[in-house]
Amino acid sequence: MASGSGAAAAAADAEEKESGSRMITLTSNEGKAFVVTEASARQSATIRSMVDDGGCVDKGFPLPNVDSKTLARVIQYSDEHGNKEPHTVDERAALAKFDRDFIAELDADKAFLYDVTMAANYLHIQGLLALTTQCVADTIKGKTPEEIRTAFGIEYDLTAQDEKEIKEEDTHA
Amino acid sequence: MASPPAHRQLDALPDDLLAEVLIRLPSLADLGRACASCASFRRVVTDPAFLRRARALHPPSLLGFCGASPGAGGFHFHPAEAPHPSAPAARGVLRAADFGFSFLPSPDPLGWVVRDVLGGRFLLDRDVVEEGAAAASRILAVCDPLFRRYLLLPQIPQDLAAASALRQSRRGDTFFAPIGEEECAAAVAETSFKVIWIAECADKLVAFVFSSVTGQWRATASVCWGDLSPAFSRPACRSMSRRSYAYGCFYWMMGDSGKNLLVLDMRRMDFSVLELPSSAPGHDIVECAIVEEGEGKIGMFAFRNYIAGYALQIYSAKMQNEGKAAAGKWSFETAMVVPFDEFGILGATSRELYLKVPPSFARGCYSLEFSTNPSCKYLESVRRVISGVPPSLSFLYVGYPPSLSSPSI
Repeated sequence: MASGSGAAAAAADAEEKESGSRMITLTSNEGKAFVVTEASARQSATIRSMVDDGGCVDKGFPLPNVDSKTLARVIQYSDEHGNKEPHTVDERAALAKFDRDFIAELDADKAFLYDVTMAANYLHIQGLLALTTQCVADTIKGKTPEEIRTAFGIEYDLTAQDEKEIKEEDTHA
Repeated sequence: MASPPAHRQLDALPDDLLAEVLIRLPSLADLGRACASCASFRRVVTDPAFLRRARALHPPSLLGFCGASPGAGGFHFHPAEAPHPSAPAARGVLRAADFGFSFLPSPDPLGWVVRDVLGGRFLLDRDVVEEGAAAASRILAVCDPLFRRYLLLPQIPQDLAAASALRQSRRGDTFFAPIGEEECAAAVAETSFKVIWIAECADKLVAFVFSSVTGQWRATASVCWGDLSPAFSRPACRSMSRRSYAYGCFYWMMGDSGKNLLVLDMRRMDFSVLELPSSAPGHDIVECAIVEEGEGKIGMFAFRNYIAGYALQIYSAKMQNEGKAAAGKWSFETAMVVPFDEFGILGATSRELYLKVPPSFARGCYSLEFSTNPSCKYLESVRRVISGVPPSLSFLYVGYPPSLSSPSI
């Protein structure tokens, strides 16, 4: 969308500096720029600390570890959680439903889920990281070692020594 | 369109993120199964820092009971049996640990006697006769049978022991004390322990404390029998029975009268006496266990003599400052009749009471599970943990499966 034109940004800046919703540009490793509200960007502890340290807000933040597809999805989460502050029971329920739908969609595409997990970790978005790691944990939960390998497409890679120890432990008998 | 093999993607998660995933598993059983599924999960789970985090989130569970085995003269671990949920982990412990303590340096391994078991550590003692010494003295060892480690404790220094008779006192109790929070420096917490030795002398009680942090014994509390209670003028009233621990205090039922609890307050390091609820003639309290009840209360499971068996009564008492219960303030909660002709308490928490029941009844070791609501406590379920009951069975083994354990000394 690359709408970071100087005039618009400055206007937004002047108008909304007090309320903490300046516009901030995040750039993916493919060079694509995403303009988000400061409130959305502040979901990331990494960006929050750079902004608070007087970092180069105007120049935006290049994110060399995050591709465009992943960044778009991360921003979808940050917008929902950063731009709205749920006050009522209904609003909180709506946000919880957003999280459920958001993670259900990611869960269907495991490779993408891992990409979003790594981005959430890199950007220190705690809520998103909790959501994605819990999703992977839920896939492991209640399964036998064999079922875990099947669920994640993991090849059997335990050594003879591991096998001996596991047999002694007998934790899944 | 063929999706790329998923395992590459999962492997792409660095270990610190795999740790964030695995720490969210709801149970230790899940963690154990994950640990047995692939090399990367195994690497993450067996990392000592991860294990510390996991153990901090999941309390240890009852894995079985320990005691000397009749005839053999040795010490045995009796793992929880299926269908008890701890059975697989308990079998793992049995397979992995050396409960014969063959790693202890002694010409006669049978000379060692187990005195206490706590958090994977075992406290043992034996008599040694040094050359030229008039009488035997006692040495203590702390062992980790899972990791085959031990530490011999130094002798109590002569100046602390005051009279050598004290050092040789056979009466009393030796046991582990929980490490206080203030001493719980994270770096050494996992391998730190405290041992208390209470020597019961003719005229007084003396408590010595050994700390693994300082490596030294200290004499910490001493009291004359006569100052505790006139009831202790009779030596028969001075024997210390099964020990309980709640909120920084140890409790022993004293002697044969069923009237008094001896209390050792670990914070103030002093002895005191707490009276038990009064008894009608013939209905004495024969055994009891003190537990942490929450809401500023301690609880008590008390067995009284009753017609054709025993009555299990549950009491609670509000604590005064610093965790000690107020004398004479027991309030009665509930009671039930148990039709055993004999039994033994093996351990208790506010939720569970562990009992051994002899062959004449439904032979076995049981856990009685109670509701947690302290204002109306009732028996929720009874579960058999093991079916055999060796007579000398006396310790709970509460811990983690071997794969989730770390050395405790």
